[in-house]
Amino acid sequence: MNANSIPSNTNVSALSVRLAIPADRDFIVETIIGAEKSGTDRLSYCTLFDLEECELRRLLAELVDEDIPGQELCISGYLIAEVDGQRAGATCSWIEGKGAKSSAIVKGSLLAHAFGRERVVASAARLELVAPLTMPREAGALQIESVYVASPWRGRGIVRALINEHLRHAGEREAPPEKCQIIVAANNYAAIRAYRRFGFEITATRSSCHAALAQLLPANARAQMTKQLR
Amino acid sequence: MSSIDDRLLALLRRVFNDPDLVVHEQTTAADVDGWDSLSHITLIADVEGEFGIKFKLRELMSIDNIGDLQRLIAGKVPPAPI
Repeated sequence: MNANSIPSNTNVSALSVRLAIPADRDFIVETIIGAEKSGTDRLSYCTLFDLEECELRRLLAELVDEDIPGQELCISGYLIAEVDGQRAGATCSWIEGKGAKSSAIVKGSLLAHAFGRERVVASAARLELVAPLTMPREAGALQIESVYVASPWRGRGIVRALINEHLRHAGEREAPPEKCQIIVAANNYAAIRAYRRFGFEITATRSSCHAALAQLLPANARAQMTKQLR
Repeated sequence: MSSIDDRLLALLRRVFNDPDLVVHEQTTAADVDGWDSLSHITLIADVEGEFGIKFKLRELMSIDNIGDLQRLIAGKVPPAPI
């Protein structure tokens, strides 16, 4: 265990964590969608861009296959947790880039390409509504995103194991990051409590009181949590 | 007809809601207030609409600054008749 790792209380005997491979694509799409819903039935990609979930799944599969690093729509950024050889959870991480290499711009390019001009133009008013919730990420910080555990395995230490492994990988880099950040829906109290136990603290929040947001997003407020690594 | 650079500047000012915005070839997303993932999606869609072009994914990924975007547009827009 390195100095930054989170003490484990994992009670899953046959848990293993490994790097994602192309064969994990469909589970990663499931992870992105499950994390985006954040325990609700609202999937922002669908509500914002007027997409059916099946169409979104097809587009996300194409995007993660491109494997463009530095954001969460990328196979090679994921770690997969397996229990008894079955995929149980996954989480993505990357070191945040600057300017055109920031996750916002890379992901924005991917989504603009996948969704197409007409759909984006038709979504303009909805995008304007959610803009106040956009949370900047700190360049150079390790970003954890798309945290997901399949329902049979929740509450069994899998998120902790996944984050620990991301921190271990980051710590082995030539220039290890000084901090780790995660963005969470502000009403996801269970997740916030868990991340606090892991050593994260809320360092920024964004919110909006616009009533229409309730139909678009899992929450009308978001929190950025930060764990100091060095 | 205004130049590609003029039309792009007008579009950038509209997308980022800043009528006084000034950009240079080396300007990046980090230099412009409000240039985030959502506004970038809107920017790409609006540029494609304004100039009647469609970017390939690898082209979008090659854009590091405004100069790259200007050159990419210029390479796709037919020259104006003399």
